[in-house]
Amino acid sequence: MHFLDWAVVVAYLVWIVWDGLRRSKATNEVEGYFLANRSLPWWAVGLSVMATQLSAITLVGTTGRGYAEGMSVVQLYLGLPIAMVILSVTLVPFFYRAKVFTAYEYLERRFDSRTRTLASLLFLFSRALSCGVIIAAPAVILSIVLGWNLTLTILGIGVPTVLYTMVGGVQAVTWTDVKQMVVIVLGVGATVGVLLFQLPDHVSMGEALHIAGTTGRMQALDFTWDPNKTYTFWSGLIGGLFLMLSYFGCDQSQVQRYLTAKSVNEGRQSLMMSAYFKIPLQFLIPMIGVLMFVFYLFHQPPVLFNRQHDAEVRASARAGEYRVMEQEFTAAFDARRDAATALAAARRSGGGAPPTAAETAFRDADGRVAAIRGRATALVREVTGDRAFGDVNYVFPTFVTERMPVGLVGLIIAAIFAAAMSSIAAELNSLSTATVIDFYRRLWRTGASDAHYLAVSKLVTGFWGLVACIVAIYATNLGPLIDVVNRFGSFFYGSLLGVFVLAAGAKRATSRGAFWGLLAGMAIVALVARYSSMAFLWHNVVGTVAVVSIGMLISLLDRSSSPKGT
Amino acid sequence: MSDTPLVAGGTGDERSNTRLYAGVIVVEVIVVTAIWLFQRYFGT
Repeated sequence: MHFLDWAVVVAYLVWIVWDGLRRSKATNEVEGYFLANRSLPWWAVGLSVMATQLSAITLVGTTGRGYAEGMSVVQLYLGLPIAMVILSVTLVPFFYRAKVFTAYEYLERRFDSRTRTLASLLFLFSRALSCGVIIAAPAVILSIVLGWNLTLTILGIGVPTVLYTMVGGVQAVTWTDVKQMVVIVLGVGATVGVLLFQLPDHVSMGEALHIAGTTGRMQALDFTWDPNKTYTFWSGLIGGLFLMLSYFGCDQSQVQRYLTAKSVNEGRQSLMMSAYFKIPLQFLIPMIGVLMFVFYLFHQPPVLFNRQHDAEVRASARAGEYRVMEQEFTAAFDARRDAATALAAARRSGGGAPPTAAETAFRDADGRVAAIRGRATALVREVTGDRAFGDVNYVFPTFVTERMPVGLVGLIIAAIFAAAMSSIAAELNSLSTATVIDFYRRLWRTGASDAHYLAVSKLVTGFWGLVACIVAIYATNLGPLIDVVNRFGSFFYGSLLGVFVLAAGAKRATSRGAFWGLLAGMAIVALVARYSSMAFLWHNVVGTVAVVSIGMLISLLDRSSSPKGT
Repeated sequence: MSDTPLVAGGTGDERSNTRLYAGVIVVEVIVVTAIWLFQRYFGT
């Protein structure tokens, strides 16, 4: 990396850490440390909500998916605006008026302490692991693409984040999120600008998008009703609705964001920001992938974007086979570039009408390039034994480091850091809140001073930061990144949502029904995930329906346990 | 029994958000339609 790019990255890190540390002045009591004394404006909370959800996995994984498959991933977010409205009407005013620190406190008031304990433990377990994955994912990729030491990269992301989160609490998390969101948007905008600027002179933007559309990459909405397909309109609208309801309504890392707002209405408005802007933003991110696909139609890409595996294959006994593959790839690339140029020319001369023959020729040429890349990926899996290897996660960082102008490379690397750090900070802060409020203050050390709990909260934040870094160092076999975290979350999320539906919507639900319903729901999701090919977004629906059904059944049969009501 | 009942739609001035919520749904319909038109235009 050029020294100017290093300067941008270092300046970003110094700025964020300094900004986070100086927020410690406003956090001299537990409520200030965890909830900013419920004083933050809606726009800051709204940006924090968006920054928390947009991790480096989204930025790197989604652009890679856009490159390989196109725009279909945008469907994941179709249920989000509806989820935000439902939450604003139901849980947000409730949580705010109940003056809770964690979402799980409500479960004890409504049911019993073991349901609260189980829900909070599930959160701690799943978020601690996902926090490690969120650090590991960009660190693995950046270390390979930039040749950095992996452990140092993990520590480079983790240590500054732990430092300012530990010292500054939620104030630091929120205000650094605001700045990090600005860095991310600037990075995304700069990438789109460079990609558009680097289109060949003889291909307009419209023609480039038509060319991408020829391969199916502009197929953003898929209206087929196939429960085994990961992203369809229906899985995004219905499964995504359940996922978002659970994520924003039952996951402490998000609930805590809007609990810091000045009032109920400011909390709601913060969620409305995501409701209005999330889909357009998530449309732009895979569009970067599609534009990279167009870019690499006219500029030869490497056979493999992961240069470490590329080097391993070259050094293996099958290097000769790989060299032949490279020659085939160069010939296939030349043929595809010519076919793309011919397709653009045919569209121009035909007045925009679809030139079927040119399209067929281009699709065939693209198929040959994809087939060679597929064979190369299979070769890597055989040579390295890395069965989950997916090259798409390396496309965006490779493009940035090799094709972006000096200075902007630093900005994009800073944006990847920002995306990772904003998510990690919110999660560490919420992990600490759940540990101290749901366990330490309730079960271990009751009645201690506020200063004691504040000191413990800071130590616990540091502890979870250490756990996340250790998990990150040992996290391997990541697979397609965006799916790892979402699949993992879907295992618990639907069931957690089911318990909150029972709590808030079913007066006859009993504590025994809620507890065993939650356990049964997770068991059913595990069975569905193990023995069916149902897409993971539907697991959220299965979990919620299972918990509500079984919970209600047990509640109705449970004559000995009287309902507490709402 | 919780001392903080859940009231759908909120209470008092909280109901003034109805327009905001309706706006979200309208904007989503517009955005999804725009994406569908985008896909129809460039998808061939």
